[in-house]
Amino acid sequence: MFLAPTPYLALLASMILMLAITFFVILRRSDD
Amino acid sequence: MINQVLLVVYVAVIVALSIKLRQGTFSGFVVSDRNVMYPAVIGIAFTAAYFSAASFLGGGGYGLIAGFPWVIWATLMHVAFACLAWIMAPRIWAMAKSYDAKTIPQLLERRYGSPGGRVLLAGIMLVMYTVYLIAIFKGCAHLFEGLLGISYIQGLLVAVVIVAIYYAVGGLPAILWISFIQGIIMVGGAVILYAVLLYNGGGTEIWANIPAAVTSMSGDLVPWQKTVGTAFSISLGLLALPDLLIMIFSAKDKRVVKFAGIYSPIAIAIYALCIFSIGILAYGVFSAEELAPFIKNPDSFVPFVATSLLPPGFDAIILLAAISAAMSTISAIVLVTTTSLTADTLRFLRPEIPDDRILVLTRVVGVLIIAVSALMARNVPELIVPLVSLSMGVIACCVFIPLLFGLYWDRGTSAGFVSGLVATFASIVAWNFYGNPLIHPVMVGVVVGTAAYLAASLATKPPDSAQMISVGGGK
Repeated sequence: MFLAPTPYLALLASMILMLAITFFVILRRSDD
Repeated sequence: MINQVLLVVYVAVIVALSIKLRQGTFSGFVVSDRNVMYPAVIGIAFTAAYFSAASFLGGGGYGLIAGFPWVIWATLMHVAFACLAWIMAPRIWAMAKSYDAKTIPQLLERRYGSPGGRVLLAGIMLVMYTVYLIAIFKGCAHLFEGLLGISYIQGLLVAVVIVAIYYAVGGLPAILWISFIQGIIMVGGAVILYAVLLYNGGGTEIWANIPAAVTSMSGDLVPWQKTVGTAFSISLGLLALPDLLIMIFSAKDKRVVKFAGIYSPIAIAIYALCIFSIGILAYGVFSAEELAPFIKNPDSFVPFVATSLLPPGFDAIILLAAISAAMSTISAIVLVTTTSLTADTLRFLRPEIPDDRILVLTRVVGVLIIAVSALMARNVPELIVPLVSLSMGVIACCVFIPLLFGLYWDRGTSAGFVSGLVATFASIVAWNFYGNPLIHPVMVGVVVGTAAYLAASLATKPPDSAQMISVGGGK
């Protein structure tokens, strides 16, 4: 099965990584 | 018939919401009295205001011309800048609240103690946003033309009336809630387009049918440097466009901003991936002959995909999604453009004018700006992307530098703020006319503007620390 070209898969992976890091940074901050 | 019914329902919801959310005070009209409690509303409205019809039509169609580098760079930069924007957002909210700022020029004026800088920025916003508005009105009018089978001028008129009503009645609260609904339609429309292309191309098999020249990352169709520059200058807007920042100002507390920072990047990631991929995926579904006319005019490509692949009725949803993309951006821009004129420039010249007078002016002038830019949209150049990318890039760049340093560096001064503005604006305009076309003018603007800001700040006396209001590290 032909999934998708490598740059596209790399794009998907880096998007997920960026979102995960952002949510981690945002959510571990205190509210006050 | 179904198109007309859809539009009537759509307009009825917009009018009902505007009346329900009508505003009577200046603070209510421009920042919703900082009382918005729903993170999803702010997050999705931010997304809808950012993505205009240029993204839906131009961004979707540009993949046809520029191929894979456009898909990868545009999506990557949008997600990256959206993430950065929402990491900075709580700090921006805190600064706006502590300075009691209701507009972006006002926020920067108070941060730097620079009324001159405020008026200069307001002037740049007024000119550049009007250019941008003309481009979006043009796209919007074409969409109404396609949806209702009316003429371009009639389409313009429909767009003007709808936006003018909800802008003038409801101000920012109406813009927020209507943009929230429009944002959901936009993301839905983008996902439908993406899915229908994949389905018609045989699932992931679609990639095997796309020509190698299109999926090459070396930019066989358009030099990759140009594509990176365009993607950068468009997505920079996420970090600093005043029409987006104003939505952060409207949050009730930091918790709302924090959770809006979850909704928005997810919506931006889904929308960007789907919409920017359309141009290349189409190569796996349509023949080169079918696509040839759209290489010359990529803006009509997305409506073509919708009408040829979707059953009747569903294509109207796609057009409505594109109309939503246009109107959510227009309304937010009209608000910040108008306040740059009334609350920033007029207040500077005549400080004694009371708030209720400014509110009346903000309503009237806003409607005038809508009418004037629609009038100018009767006759504008064909391709939307380059025009939009430069005008919004200029504003984003002018705000980004003083905002970023203003948030994280105490040493920035009024002289730095003003020099940064002048250098950014002048270098972008000059590079656009005389510079190397492979390097995007906005990239030059970021470098020259930052250098001027830093040099002038360091060359002048540090600001009086007693005047500075600390916004705290993420607090």
